[in-house]
Amino acid sequence: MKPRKAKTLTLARKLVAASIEGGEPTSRRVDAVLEFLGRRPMAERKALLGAYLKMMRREEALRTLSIERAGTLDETSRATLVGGMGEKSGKPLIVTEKETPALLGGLKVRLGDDIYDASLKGILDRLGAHGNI
Amino acid sequence: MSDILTKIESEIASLGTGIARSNTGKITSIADGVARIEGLSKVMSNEMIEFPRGVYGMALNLEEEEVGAVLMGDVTGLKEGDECKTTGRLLSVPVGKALLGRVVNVLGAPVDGKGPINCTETLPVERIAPGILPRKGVDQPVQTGVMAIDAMIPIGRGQRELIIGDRQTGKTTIAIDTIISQARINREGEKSGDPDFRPIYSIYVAIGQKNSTIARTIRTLEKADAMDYTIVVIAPASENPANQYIAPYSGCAMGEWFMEHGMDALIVYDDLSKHAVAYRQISLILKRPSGREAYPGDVFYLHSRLLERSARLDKDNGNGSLTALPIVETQAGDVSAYIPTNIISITDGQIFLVTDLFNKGIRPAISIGISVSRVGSAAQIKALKQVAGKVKLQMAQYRELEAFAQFGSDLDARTKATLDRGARLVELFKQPNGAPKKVATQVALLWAAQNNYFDKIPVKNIVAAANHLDQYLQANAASVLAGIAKLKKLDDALTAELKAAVEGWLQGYDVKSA
Repeated sequence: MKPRKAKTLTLARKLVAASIEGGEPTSRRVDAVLEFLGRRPMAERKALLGAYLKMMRREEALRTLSIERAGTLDETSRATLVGGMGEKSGKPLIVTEKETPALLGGLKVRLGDDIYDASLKGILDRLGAHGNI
Repeated sequence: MSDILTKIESEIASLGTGIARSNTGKITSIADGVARIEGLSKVMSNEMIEFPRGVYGMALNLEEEEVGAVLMGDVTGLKEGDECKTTGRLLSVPVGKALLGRVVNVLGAPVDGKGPINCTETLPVERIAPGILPRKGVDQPVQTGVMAIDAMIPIGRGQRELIIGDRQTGKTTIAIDTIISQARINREGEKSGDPDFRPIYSIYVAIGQKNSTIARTIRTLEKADAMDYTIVVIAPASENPANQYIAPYSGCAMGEWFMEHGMDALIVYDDLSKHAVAYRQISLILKRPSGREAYPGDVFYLHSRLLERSARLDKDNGNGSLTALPIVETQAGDVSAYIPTNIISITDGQIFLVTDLFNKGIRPAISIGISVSRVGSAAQIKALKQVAGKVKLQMAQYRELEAFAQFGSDLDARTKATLDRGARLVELFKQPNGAPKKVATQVALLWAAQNNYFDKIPVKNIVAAANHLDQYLQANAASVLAGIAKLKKLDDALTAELKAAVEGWLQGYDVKSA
């Protein structure tokens, strides 16, 4: 028999999948999921809601492309970057942008757990770690 | 100025460091040297993970929602929410001859205050053991310098010989004496200029011991000038259980470098009982299912994959070897406990040390009856085989009849002879710590004992007589000892010379003297 925690996680995963329509979570579907959860026994509901929230946050993180740049980024480059990352993830992306002078140059892109560091600071840090400077 | 900056930037750009990709996660909880991490979706099993403030960890548990990693180093600065990232590589340690003479931690960083170590190569701590085909049979001896072992439980290069016994029975002493003996042999061999001489390099892995004990061991090795051929890897009890878990594998990687480069190495794991306890602690914190005595189900694999990496390789693979001397501590002499029986079934023999013998003054306190070397005389030089071939049987017969020793006057001549010979052999095998005997000396002493030259000497004076004979031979018959060391067997001429030397000694020796 599966332990209770594993059952909760399995059901939460199914609920997350059920919340997604057209490749992204929709308000209509999430409402339906919450209504379903409202009918569950109280003891189960809290654990399920907690797991569901955690997974939805993770789902959001996997769709969020955060771009940190030292200077400006022209539209063409932005579009190429967003398009490429969108193709890589296979999901519609939420794009956030931030200017971070500490990067010195270039940019640093984060999508989900993955960080792609093409900044000047990152290059210098890596060179320093290898003892080249 | 901007031109200068542009030049520097293009120089940096030309180094081709490109884009670095890393997979990150956040610490959700951290306790007892184990961190649970959310994220790290692309981490691999046993991959090294980098935490803030120069702390490294190893991913052990890959679960659907989180990753469990053991931490190495000072974790006091880490907290929930700290970000960590994968490094894309397995945990590796520096290897090479530059480590000889140094004391290092489990990551290969020096802790002896003698400056950095210039190693150019690294090896992963977790590696697959050599397969069947690259191996060769064990046929070269490791001279421990402990006569009881070299004569009756001989160890060969590439063998795994377990040293097992209760606390304070002399287990570490045997291992350290072996290292000291090897260092002395190495020095003499290198001085002789013999092109066929193969030194043995030693690695001592201290797992879960007190810092004071480790310091004492290092001092002993330094005093005996053995550190030049030794690497000491330490994971004391004050460190994380993760360090204690990784330490034997780190040491093994260092030993494997010697083996794979055609050299011979000896590694001591002191001790694997504490290693199993550290692994149990990590596994319980990681919520892995526990089995017998709360050990995780793969505690056998923990040691089997470590000890299988010790081997003798054939000529096509460099002809190197890694000999392992794992140490296990028993409780109240119980050799049928879980961890001891696991390791007994893995190793190629065991040396049992018994508290009763130790307390009676028989040191090393080796129980010959239950000690065994599965390699046997294949790992002995011919000379030792010639003189020590019957010793184990004689000792067994002595033990059987020992209870009758109190009836000395009522026994037949044969029984009395067996008892007399056995008692003298027991005395002959007594040896102080830190005083390994050369193999030529062992051959000479055993030859003298087997040819009745000690029969007239009272049992209580045998130790002194043996020392006296050793000194006499070194002063007056050094050529005989040199001949035994060179020829490695006792031919007629050498036997005659040895006989003359021993008779000469006996004539001038007062058999009643203490």
